[in-house]
Amino acid sequence: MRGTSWARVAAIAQGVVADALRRRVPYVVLAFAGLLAVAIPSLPSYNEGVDAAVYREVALALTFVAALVVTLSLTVNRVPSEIERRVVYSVLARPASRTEYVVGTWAGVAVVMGGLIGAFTLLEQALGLAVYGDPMWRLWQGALGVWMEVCVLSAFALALSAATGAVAAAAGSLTLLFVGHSRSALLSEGSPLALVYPSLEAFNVIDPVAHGAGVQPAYVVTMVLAFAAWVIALLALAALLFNRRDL
Amino acid sequence: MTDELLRARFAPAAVAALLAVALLMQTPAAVLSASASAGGDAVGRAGWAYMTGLRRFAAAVLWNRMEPLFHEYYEYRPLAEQTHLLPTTWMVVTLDPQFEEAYYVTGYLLSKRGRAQEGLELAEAGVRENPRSGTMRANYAQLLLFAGRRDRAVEQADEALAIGTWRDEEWRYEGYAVMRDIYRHAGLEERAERLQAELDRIAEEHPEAAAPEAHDHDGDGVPDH
Repeated sequence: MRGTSWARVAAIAQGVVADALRRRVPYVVLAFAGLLAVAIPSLPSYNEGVDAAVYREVALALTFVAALVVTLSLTVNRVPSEIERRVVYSVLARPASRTEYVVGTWAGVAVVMGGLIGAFTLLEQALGLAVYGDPMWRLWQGALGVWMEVCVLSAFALALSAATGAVAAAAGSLTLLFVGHSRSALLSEGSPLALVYPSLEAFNVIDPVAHGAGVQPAYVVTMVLAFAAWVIALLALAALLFNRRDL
Repeated sequence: MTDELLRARFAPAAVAALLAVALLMQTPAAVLSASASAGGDAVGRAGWAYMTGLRRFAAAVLWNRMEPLFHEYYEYRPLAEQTHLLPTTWMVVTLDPQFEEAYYVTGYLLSKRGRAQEGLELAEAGVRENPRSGTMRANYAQLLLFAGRRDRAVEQADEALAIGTWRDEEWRYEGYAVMRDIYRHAGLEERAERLQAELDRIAEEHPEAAAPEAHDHDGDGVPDH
């Protein structure tokens, strides 16, 4: 059994990025700029003007929603459509293992989302500087949290789509999103189930970024560890399911 | 001229012309379909009413979300400076016009920031949406007093005492204290004394209502809420 070739993974990831560029994903940045320009001044404030904290909160929320939509649209149909169009056979015949295909596909989506969320954040900083005279550097902490969360969702969507279809993968990913942010509502305080509950709250740093002074470096380390654990587990699951699939 | 050239020249012009016709037709269409528009509005209102439960749930979620923010990040900031609350409180009263807390917090905040008119309009809306609420009338009366309209403030205080209902004894205690001060301000000592007697009675019978947990956000020794 041959080991994983990172060159092949990178080549597959490059293909995903090229495909995203072909599908005009960068135009989403323009749409996001328009959304920011329209949404922020439209916020109700009783003629008091929009508070900088509210601006940061809404900007991060819009980033998350836009990133979620793009991530799911890039991920859920990727494997099913490549199987249907028989593209996957030429990739696997090159030779690339199914594990490399899954990891490369996820890495490509992660790179696209990194670029997109980075562009969103630069736009938010520019607007923050223009309106509030503050470059709001801590928005990058929020951007990192959003990127990690959508990458986890992408890995989950990939695992589901490796075994089912695009619709099931989208529905399952949205369910994980809902469940992942409902721990405090669904479990009572001190419940032992909290230890095994699939929570995505570690990546939600909107409040400290928007209203506080951001998060401590130790917290960022915790986020990174949680992110690594989620992604490795979900990609392993995706590879397992895809390896067992009869193509 | 070849077909391709014709298409290249005339297709964009045709698209532009069709768009212009579509835009120009909007005005006569709106005039001719006034009844349809009214019907659409009615359907919209009915749909909005059917969503009452969901709207109230959303309003409560939004309000509950503010609480930790308020005490975690803005503990030492005076209420009047907490303008970050405004979009959320606006959303809360829009979703649930019976959500009384949002009216008095926002009205007080606006009034203290010199936006008396906006505060009064909101307090008035609170009374309109909750005509039997003593708290909404006491709130309106307080903002009228802040705006220098003492006679109208006394009228509202009288209304609150005549027809107002109170969520519990704590809300009644706070409302009575506000109205006592309004009467004192207006030189109506007899009414103020009557309310003071009521306040003493509530404090005796319901000590928890008279001494709720107070928060002094700006550290000036005076509780902000």
